[in-house]
Amino acid sequence: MIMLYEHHFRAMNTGVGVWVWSADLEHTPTIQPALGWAEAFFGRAEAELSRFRGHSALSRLNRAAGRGPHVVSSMLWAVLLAAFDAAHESGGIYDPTVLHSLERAGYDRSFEAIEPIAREAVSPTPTLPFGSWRGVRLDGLTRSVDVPQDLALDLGGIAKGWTVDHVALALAPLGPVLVDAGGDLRVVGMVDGEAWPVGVQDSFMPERDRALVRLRGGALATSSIGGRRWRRGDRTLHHLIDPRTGTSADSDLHAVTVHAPDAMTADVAAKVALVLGSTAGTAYLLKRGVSALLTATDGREMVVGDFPHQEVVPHASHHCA
Amino acid sequence: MMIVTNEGLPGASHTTNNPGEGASLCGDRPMKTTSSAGSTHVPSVQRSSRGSPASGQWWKAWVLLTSVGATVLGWMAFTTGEPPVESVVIAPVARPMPIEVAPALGGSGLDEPRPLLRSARTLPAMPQKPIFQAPVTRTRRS
Repeated sequence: MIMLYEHHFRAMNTGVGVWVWSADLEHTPTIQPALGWAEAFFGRAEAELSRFRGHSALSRLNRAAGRGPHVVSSMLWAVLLAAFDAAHESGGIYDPTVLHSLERAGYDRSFEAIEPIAREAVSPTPTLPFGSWRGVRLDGLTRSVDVPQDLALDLGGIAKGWTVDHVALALAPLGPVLVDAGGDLRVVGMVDGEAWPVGVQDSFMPERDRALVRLRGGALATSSIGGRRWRRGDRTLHHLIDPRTGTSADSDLHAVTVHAPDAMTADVAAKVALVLGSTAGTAYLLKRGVSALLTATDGREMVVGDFPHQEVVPHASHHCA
Repeated sequence: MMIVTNEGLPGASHTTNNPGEGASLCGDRPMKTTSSAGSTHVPSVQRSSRGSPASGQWWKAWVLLTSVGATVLGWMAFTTGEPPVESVVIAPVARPMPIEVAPALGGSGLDEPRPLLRSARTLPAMPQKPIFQAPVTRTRRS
């Protein structure tokens, strides 16, 4: 007997779904507590890693900016290491220290609470010079972080990816598992050799899917400028900050969906490619060895690498690699 | 001609559909009948070899008790060899359900507040492909 267990809950300001197949009755008494653990772990991760929680470990670290080394929790430490690795690997296009730029652009509270239209324009002057993230010091011996006075950290997407990966790997001994947090999802294992079918949202028509992915392993993440948008003055802004300009990225891409070995990598790669645009973004994705489905602002679809999609409903499509 | 014998037991009857004989005899009275092979049965001798009517009652009781005992022992062996029923049953949170998987959620499906839901679906041991009739979930803009 093969059982598919599902558990849905809300965490990190999004919907989370966990699916576990199990054919072993010995695991039956374990699975329900394990699903409960998964929900609790997401809650704990949110409590430690969210910038919207005033008492989170991340908020305490941000408040300690300019005051010297600050010892952080092991969870925050793990995510910070991954975040600064990603910053280094992407040449600073992924930057975990753009929080002040994000807040200056208007994303200073949970997205649902943002005023959609405001008359005040956002100053075009960047808050910080490009590459300021290099000023953050991490000391592995004391597990402490020294954040310069003018910087503040935001770990939104990468924290979600890290949590998805952590939960998926922890549940994997019970059977094939899929963990999805707001579109960042990770698969470990398959049932009866059959891939997990996952839809890819159409970034222009969010109620329908643009493609179907047969996921045999690894992770998917999507970044898009179509969702979190608001107006300030005569500009439409979104949440993907280009650290080179300090404001919302001006990209020719509308959405990027990346298939990578893990959700954290997929989330970072999707953001970086979108900020870089189709040409530099494609080069970056190929260099990273991940595959992707890119949707341009004019509706063109581009496939990078061996993206495991079954079908794409294109306006105009061409294959990049 | 068909002969049905139930010899050796108290009150045993011998029935024959041999025309002209047609008798059903009970008790200790010697009975003579003809089989299809033409051999002769001597029931009284066979009955005596299996004991008196009183010993026949003991034999019946012995068979009955043995059957009941075997049943009880077998039941005990099975129940002690498996986990308690409570540990096998997954209900109420995990109920066997049809193979079909929920259709893809809408654009804001997973983003809507949803009540806590735990469920399980059952597949046969050899599931028919494809297992999934529709996308399990969808990657979407974040």
